[in-house]
Amino acid sequence: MHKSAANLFKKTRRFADFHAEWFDALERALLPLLRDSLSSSSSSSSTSTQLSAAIHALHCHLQSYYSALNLAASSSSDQLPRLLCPPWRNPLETPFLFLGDLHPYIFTTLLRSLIENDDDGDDSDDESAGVFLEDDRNHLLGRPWQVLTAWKNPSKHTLSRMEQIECGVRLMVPALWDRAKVEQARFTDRVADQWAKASGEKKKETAAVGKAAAAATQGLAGVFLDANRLRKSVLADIMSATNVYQAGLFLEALAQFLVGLRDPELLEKFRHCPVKMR
Amino acid sequence: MELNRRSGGEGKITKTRERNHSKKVASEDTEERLEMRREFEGGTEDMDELSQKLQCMAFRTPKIGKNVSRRQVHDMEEPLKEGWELDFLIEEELDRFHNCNSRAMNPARLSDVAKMLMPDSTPTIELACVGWFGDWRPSLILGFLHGLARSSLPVSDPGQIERTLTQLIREVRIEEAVIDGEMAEIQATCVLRLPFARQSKGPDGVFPLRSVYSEFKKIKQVINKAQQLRFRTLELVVQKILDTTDAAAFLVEFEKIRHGLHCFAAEQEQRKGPVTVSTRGLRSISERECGNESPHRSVKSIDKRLLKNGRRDCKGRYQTHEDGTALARFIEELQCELQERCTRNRKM
Repeated sequence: MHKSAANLFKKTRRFADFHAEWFDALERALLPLLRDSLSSSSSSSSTSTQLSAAIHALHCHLQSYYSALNLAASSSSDQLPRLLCPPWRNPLETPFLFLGDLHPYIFTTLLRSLIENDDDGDDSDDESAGVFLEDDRNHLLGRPWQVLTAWKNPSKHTLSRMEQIECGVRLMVPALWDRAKVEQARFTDRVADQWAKASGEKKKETAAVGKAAAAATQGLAGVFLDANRLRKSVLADIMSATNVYQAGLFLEALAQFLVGLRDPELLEKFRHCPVKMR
Repeated sequence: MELNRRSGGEGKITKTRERNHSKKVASEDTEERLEMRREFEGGTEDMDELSQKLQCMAFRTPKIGKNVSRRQVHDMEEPLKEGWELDFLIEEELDRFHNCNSRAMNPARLSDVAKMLMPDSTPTIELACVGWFGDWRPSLILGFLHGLARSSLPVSDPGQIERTLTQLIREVRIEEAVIDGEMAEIQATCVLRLPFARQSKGPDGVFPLRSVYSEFKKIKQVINKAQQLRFRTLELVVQKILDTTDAAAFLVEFEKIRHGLHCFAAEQEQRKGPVTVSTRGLRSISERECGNESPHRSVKSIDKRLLKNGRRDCKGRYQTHEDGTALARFIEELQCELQERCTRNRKM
């Protein structure tokens, strides 16, 4: 508390600190709050308000993280390369990053996996879906029926909205990725172009590389901003397409996933785990 | 065909060349061959410079048993060919590239897989500009050659090379896209494959580690594919598309640009501190998005609250209220803040 008061007048702060604080709030305050609200058994209007407040808080928390990423990227474009390879992410998270954060497909994949259809023979073949149901049964007991059945046979309207969201993401992600590739290709073109003029002079060569790199980071910054905007809009769309119980379960799963990736116990084991394992 | 092309410094046979060749006295034909080259080739100076540069590059690599035996094979076979020492040096350069790759391809620990994607030794600017699975994107290597062939690198048959390269770039891009697709699949489904979203810990948390392990195995395989594509692309360019002299010239330029970019990026990175973000911006985000404060609240009430908060903060921050200078600074900052809010509200 004292620290935040002292920081009040500082112009900038380290992003890593912000992320640590943000994650702490997610793990210690918002996720438990949401879990509590999902489990409180009575279905009175006050618990429903509590649930929607918890959902709202968690959703806003996620949104604010992407806004902060964009703020850091737009304040100066030389921060961008490090935002694309964020040092505050642990080695368990890094391979799952796409343009600096979670792949936007994760949101829709997760959403899809929540649906439980009675007549869905195919899904029960899927191993992961089976595990999902089996394991959840224990810890979901004691939750009100609205929560337990929230994703059972969702309405046609919800399903079609979900499809729309998925379509949107599937259109946007390849476009983003292509833009990133084009920026990289432009970089080599520029360097190759300037290389001839540099004619072996070290200073000119460095200048050529520097200029091209600056242009590339500038271009990639736009891609990064749009990637985060996409993540934000997908989350917002999901929130608007689902009812309060569905949204609650979705956000719970998402937050648990984020927290799980930073579980210190697992991380410790992971760091010592050899690649060749019996 | 390259024999007639370089018509530059004919007859300028430099001492460096002799020095170069004295290092390889394995073949008795050397002098004779040199003589032949001198006659036919004309601009030997370029060649010598190249081979010297390549040699410099090659000497930086640790010699490995495999290389030695390869060299012996070469010593026996190659003297018949023109420009054999360039071939040899190109081979060595490729070996070096391959060894770098294969060393990175065998991480000891699972957590090193992340380092394959973002190696500690590679500055982030380099990764942003040319990176793809931790090293140069293969199509960019080709693109760079393409650019050089158009501008500064004199190649033997520009038209033919241009056509081949355009075709090859298209093919390599497709292969890249396939590998990207595999990675995207892993990244998109990790939320299902890793058990965190479901909160199901096995005894002692073994279960999560097992799924992490299998995901990372998959990721490692994709990285290996990417690295193979990278190496194959370079090999193809150097051995199939370009003739020996062009290949050597290209490798020298490529190494120069790799080095140049690396140095530039490393220097830039060293100069910069950690990633920062404006506190004021963060505050306005949390107000705007977390609903701590309605954006339409009147400035007056914000004013009051700010002052109240400010007084509280002031207590923690400054020893006494009597400290006139500190208080003045505080008020100044408060005014700035207020002004900003006013303009923002007006905009809205």
